[in-house]
Amino acid sequence: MSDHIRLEGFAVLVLEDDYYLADDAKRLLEDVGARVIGPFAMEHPALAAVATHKPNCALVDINLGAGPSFTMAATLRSHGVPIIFVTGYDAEAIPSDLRDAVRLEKPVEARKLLQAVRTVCGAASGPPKG
Amino acid sequence: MSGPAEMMRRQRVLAEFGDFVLDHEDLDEILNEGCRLIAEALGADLAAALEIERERDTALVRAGVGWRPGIVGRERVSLSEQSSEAYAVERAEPVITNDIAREDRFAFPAFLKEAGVVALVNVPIFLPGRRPWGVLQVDARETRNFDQEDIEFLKTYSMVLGPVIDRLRVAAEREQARSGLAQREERLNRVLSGMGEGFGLLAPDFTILEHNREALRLDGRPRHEVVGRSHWEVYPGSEHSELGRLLKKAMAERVPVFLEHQYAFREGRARWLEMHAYPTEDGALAVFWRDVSDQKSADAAMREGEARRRLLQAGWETDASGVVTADSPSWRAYTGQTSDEWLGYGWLDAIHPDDRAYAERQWREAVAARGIVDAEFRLRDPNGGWRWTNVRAAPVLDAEGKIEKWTGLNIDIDARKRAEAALREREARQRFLLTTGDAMRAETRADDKIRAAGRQLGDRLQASRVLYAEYDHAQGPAEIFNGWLAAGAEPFPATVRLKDFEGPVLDDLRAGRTVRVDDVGALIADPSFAAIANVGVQALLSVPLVVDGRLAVSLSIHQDEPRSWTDDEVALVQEIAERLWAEIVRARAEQALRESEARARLLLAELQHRVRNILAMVRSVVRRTVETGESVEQVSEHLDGRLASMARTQTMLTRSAGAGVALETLIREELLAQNAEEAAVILEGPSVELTPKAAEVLTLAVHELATNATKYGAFSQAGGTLEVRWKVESHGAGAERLRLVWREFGVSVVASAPRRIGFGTELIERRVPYELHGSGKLELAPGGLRAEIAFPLAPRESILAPRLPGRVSVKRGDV
Repeated sequence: MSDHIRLEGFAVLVLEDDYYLADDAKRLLEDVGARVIGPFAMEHPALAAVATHKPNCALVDINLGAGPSFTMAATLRSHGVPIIFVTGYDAEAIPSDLRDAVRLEKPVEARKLLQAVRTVCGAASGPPKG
Repeated sequence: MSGPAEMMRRQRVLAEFGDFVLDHEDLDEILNEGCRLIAEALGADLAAALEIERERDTALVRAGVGWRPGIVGRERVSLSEQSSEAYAVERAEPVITNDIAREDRFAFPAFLKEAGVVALVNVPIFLPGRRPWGVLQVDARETRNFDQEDIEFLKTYSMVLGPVIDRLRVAAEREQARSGLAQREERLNRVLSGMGEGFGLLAPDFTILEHNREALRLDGRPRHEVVGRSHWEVYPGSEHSELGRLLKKAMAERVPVFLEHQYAFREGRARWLEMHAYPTEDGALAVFWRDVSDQKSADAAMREGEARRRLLQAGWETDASGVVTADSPSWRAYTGQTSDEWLGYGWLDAIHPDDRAYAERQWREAVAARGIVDAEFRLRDPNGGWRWTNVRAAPVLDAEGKIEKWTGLNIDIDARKRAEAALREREARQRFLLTTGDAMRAETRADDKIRAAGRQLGDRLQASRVLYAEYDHAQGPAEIFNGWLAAGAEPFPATVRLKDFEGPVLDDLRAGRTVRVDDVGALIADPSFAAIANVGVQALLSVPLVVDGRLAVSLSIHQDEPRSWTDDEVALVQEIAERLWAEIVRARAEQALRESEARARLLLAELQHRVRNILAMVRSVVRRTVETGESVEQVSEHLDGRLASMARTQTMLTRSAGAGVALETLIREELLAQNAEEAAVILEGPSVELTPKAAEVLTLAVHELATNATKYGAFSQAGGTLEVRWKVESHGAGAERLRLVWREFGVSVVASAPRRIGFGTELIERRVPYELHGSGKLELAPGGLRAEIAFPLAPRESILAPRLPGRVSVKRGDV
């Protein structure tokens, strides 16, 4: 399926309020060697983790149960962490200054998710170490 | 409904409809597609959308699927007492008829029976603000039991349709107002209203078809007293006058005519009018009037002036030093002074006090400089008032070039001065209306328009306040916008109770009469005037606008000291009030459209988000179920149960928008799905409303526990019992925590021992902490399984989520 994609050396932050989806993403990423920061169901602990764990990129769900929010995405941007939106919303729901970020539509295929992480994380940090 | 697959299919239908709506602008197309999808989703033969037609008390089959030609767009149902459609709208609830033959509440239209309809559901469609639009109808050709899920699905569908219809309707109205004829007509009307010339349109039988604003102003009557009536009737005496002869000639011979004539309007106002009439292509006559009275009176003033010059002029002489020593009978006749009053410098007393210093200075300077005097000022009129005069004087020299005396002449120029002033006033008024109109149009929001008009009026009238009030007769209060406040003026309250101001002022406004009070203090004996004086108003000018027979708005000018309002000021405020009102109505319509569009967009975005999230969840649950490595039969059974449980959550969440899900109902429904013996179950706890998220997690958790109990636990053997107890723990300052314990008794450990740790365990011990920020524990105790779930009851809302009160309602249940 995604045998040839390996993500060793990458740290990926996951923000997703649905347990199953969060856990799926975590398992998928760890299976190909990535380190997962989180997953987090809320913005607050995720924000704290950005500074301490220095992720290479982040998977961000827009709606954490209280309507669309872009605080996390904007903060990650300001820390230089590239983001991938994983969402059920159309592109128009995303503010124009964040619209250049990659947007994956739920339900996401595993292969597409891994490809997006490799492209976005890789572009930001160069080839994975180790 | 039958199972989760069906549920998923219906969610997809909603999502597809959402996509369709985003791509289409035509209401009929959208409604037809909506009917097609709904018939397909419910496996029905026919569906229709019926739009209420208030004025005829019917509903039109606006769109539909499955009907023979000639029904959609043509057939109507009566909204009488016996109509099931009317009943659904009135009750604001779906109305179900499972078999027309056995239905005795309603009568059904013939076309329905001809189409072979046997069973039907009517779901009312409401626009935002609970305004009924119509009915969504699903029809079947066989008797059929529409179940609760069908109804819930239809309700969700109609809930989505409301804002969609509203958005397109508002857009269509605006489009219609802007396009084609309406647009041209509006443009023409603006040109006609804006021009300073009166314009009217006469039908071949001389019925007045149109009068523009200036024509109505000339006439002094409201539009409805003029337009639609015969010209001869509206202007008595015109038919057999020169005017009538020319108009008939123009109409019959299709030639332009011209006439300058004087017409005496009602109240004896005679105006000079310049009339041009041109035949139009469609057989009517376009008539233009220009009020040339001012010009005429200026001309007349010249001619009159000639005559008056003989009558009203004064010749006089002074001594060499400029002091009056000789009598002047013509001066005495002109001013009414006696010769004693006139002598010396007494003549100064005949000059208007404001002009006196100027006149004296001109005179003394001329005398000192031996120059010529040429000045204009006002002289007392013996008949009362003042008249403008032009004085010319020059020294008379003797043979040696010394001043012998001064001789002078006063000429009356009053008519010319007044005509000039009137012309200036008219020009200034026209300029003011243009400037104010531009200032209002430059703003997009209604209150900014009010402020723009207020600033212009306040400045021009030197008022202390300009207020725009809107009246709500059902409620009693008036809403006030402070359009303009002079420096230091107190703002007026934003709302006032009308009953505090009951009295002559409100009576006049309600009757559509302009209120004009020069001195409120003089009327203070009346309590309503006392109330007005009390809010710092000493003079008041208030113009009402009556719409559909009711006082809708008023534009008021306040002054903190008495003043005398002129006719021109009153006319000006009336004119601005009308224009402001028109501007505001347009601004609000556009605002409503923008809001309605935003609402529909938001709703659709939320719908997309939800549906896609649910699909992702389902996929994850399916994978987790398959991963347990059970047999195909077991996987299929588990999957069926889990998806059914998820479907029940969705049903509960859409059942009543605006409320949460009751915890006890949730548990009962899951137990019911397992056919658990009620006798073996004890449920106890206070009434608790759950947020959608908590309901979603708990439903699945209870489902897993109940399935396990059926297979291995309390429901699997005789003597097994189940107790579910919950309580709400308070942790101070609104922080409340729900603690729920599921405990099975009388279960032999042998039976429950081989239970797999799998989906259920993960759900309770991992998903509960993760999603609800609480804790969950599952353990095998002697006698049976024990599960404990605890989480904080903090309401977390999304846009479609029910709005929960800040505190959860807690009351002791009697289970």
